[in-house]
Amino acid sequence: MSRYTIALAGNPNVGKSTVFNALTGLKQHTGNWTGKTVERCEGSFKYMQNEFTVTDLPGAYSLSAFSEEETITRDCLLNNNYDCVVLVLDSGALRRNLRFAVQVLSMYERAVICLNLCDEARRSGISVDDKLLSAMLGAPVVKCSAVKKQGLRELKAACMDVCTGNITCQKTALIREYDPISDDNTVADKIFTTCVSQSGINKVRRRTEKLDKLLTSKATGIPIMLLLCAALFWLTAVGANYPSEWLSSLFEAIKTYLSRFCGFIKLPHFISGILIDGVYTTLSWVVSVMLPPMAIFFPLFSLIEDAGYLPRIAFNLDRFFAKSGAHGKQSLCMMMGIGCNACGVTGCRIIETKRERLIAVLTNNFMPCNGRLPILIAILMMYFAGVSSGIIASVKVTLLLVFIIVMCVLLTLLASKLLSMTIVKGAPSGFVLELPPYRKPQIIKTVCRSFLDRTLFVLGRAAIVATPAGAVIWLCANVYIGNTSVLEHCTDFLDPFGKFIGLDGVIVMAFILGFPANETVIPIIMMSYMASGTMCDYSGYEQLYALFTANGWTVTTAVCMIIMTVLHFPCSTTCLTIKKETGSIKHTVLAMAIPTISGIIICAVVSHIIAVFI
Amino acid sequence: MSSIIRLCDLAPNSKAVIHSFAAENASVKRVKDLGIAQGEEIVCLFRSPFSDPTAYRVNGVTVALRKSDCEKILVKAYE
Ligand SMILES: Nc1nc2c(ncn2[C@@H]2O[C@H](COP(=O)(O)OP(=O)(O)OP(=O)(O)O)[C@@H](O)[C@H]2O)c(=O)[nH]1
Ligand SMILES: [Mg+2]
Repeated sequence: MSRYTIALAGNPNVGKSTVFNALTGLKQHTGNWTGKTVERCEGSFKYMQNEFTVTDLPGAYSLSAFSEEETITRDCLLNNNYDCVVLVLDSGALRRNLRFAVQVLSMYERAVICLNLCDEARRSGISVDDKLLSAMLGAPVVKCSAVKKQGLRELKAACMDVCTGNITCQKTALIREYDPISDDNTVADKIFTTCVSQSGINKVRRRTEKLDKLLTSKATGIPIMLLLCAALFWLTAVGANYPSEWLSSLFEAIKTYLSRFCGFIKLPHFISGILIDGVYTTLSWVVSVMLPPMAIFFPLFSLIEDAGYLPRIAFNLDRFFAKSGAHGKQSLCMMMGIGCNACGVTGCRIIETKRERLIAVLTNNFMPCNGRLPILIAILMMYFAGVSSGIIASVKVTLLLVFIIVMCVLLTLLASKLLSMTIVKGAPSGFVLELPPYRKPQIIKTVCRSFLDRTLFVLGRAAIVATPAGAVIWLCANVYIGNTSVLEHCTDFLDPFGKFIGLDGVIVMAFILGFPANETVIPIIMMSYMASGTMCDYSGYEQLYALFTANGWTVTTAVCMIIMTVLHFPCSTTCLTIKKETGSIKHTVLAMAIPTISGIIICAVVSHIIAVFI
Repeated sequence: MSSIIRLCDLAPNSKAVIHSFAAENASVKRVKDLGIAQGEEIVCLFRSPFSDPTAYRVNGVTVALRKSDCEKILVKAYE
């Protein structure tokens, strides 16, 4: 048995990650837009008693790297002596793909050409002479379709042949003709015209053009975008209701048994308090209320992503980003940010220039992530939809959510504009956005994968973060200094400030303690209220509404709570990511300060204005 | 007869051949990396709802370019 190393390289969005997943059985994220993968990732597979380590590299247009993730690719290829480089090419766009292939082949002899997306090329009426191509490039050529799992065995066989030396790759005369200094395309173009032919109508292109007419035109582009956004939120809010109720009554029932059990084994009140009222309550809240919306939103979002719609949003909105001195691809990072701000911040690597990337990183937190979306839904349900869960209520919630998102986008633009006028001055630089063909999403696979991912992620986080948070809160609420609990000392201290911005001390503290994960903010508020007298068992929005109202919540509080949810410092994971991406503590602090300060100001102004009218 | 115009002045649904670049900077380099090079045929497809950027087909792929970048690309329009 021997071990070999393989790298997957190619232009962006040619299906490298899909090939990687198909080869290794791993679950790298894929998506129909350029720049989905920004970090290299490793996996391995066994074939004929040999072990192969595969590296999935970010897509690159050329080796004379421009953007950060392309630099990663280039350095990886230059510094690691891979036993074999698999050049993944899009069979439908070979003209451009071959240029990259020639660039790589001129420095790397041991390579396998993987003509991916064969099914799509066939429907486009494109045919490739693989034998001739192999002869001209001097490397084995394998046709495959990673999604349909076709040609993978051949690909593995070819990799093994190259790694073991069964096939010796050699630079052909043609490849030697290529001159990396002048970097001209004559060699690649010659290969293209000899090997590739197009016949009949291009069905893929026709479908894409038809859809683009609808999705990017003046009349329908923006309305459809908003409608889609609304549909996404509506499904999330409505769909999450049922599992939420179901889960919380389940947890409630278990809690009764747990308490009885604790009584039975005569556990000291102190311990059962920490375990049941502290840890268990927080955990069950995070799972029953936060998990369902995330588990619905994420898969739906992934479907849209897989179909290729995200670059169209960036296309539709670029004008505003250009006006704000920002990069058009920032909207892609923002959409990733709705999923998770840490991912959004890492995703900013697709932005090629430092200045614009910094703007995108600093403003990413203006998009409410999946950890905050359920807070918004809960508040909207309770205070603006009249608790009832009918259609009208859900439509109201949806419209308000869309409104909030639009406001978030406007705030991001405003902040970007201000940043580009002050801290990161400079003119906007070149912008090239690829609009890939629409692809039928792999529905079942995408939905299952992102559902599982999300569920596991939230459960993991709940266990890691919510458990200690629950314990700490319970302790604070039950350890007394003098006549008041530690918790009350803290909330009393924060109360004047909280009241000033339309909230109260408990809420402010919940946001501070929610720094490790926003999911815990509402459970912390709940527990603090419950600890200070009003005992109440949670089993639905009605009770929560009663609890909050009993503790002095008004519509003003709800409005300010929404504002504060959107506008406060990013969670700890995101902060660490920002530090990692910018390499600067100053910028991390800035990323925390910008939303927090604007949140405090807006809350103060809004609450005082409302107070004047009521 | 064909005339040389800036790419941004090419109307939707018309074709041209890339003639030259009016500047050599990082953003032009980026444009070239994407396969938009001299002698390449380019088709103007459609404009975004707010009329900038514009989608072009070149090299068998669709790319969107901002007006400010297209000003630096000179093309020879087909009559
Ligand atoms: N029809 C079809 N679609 C494919 C095939 N391979 C990949 N795709 C789709 O192409 C899109 C891009 O796939 P990815 O694997 O994310 O591409 P990538 O090369 O890793 O992209 P970057 O990470 O952005 O460089 C996804 O929507 C896939 O579902 C294929 O063989 N046939
Ligand atoms: Mg990838």
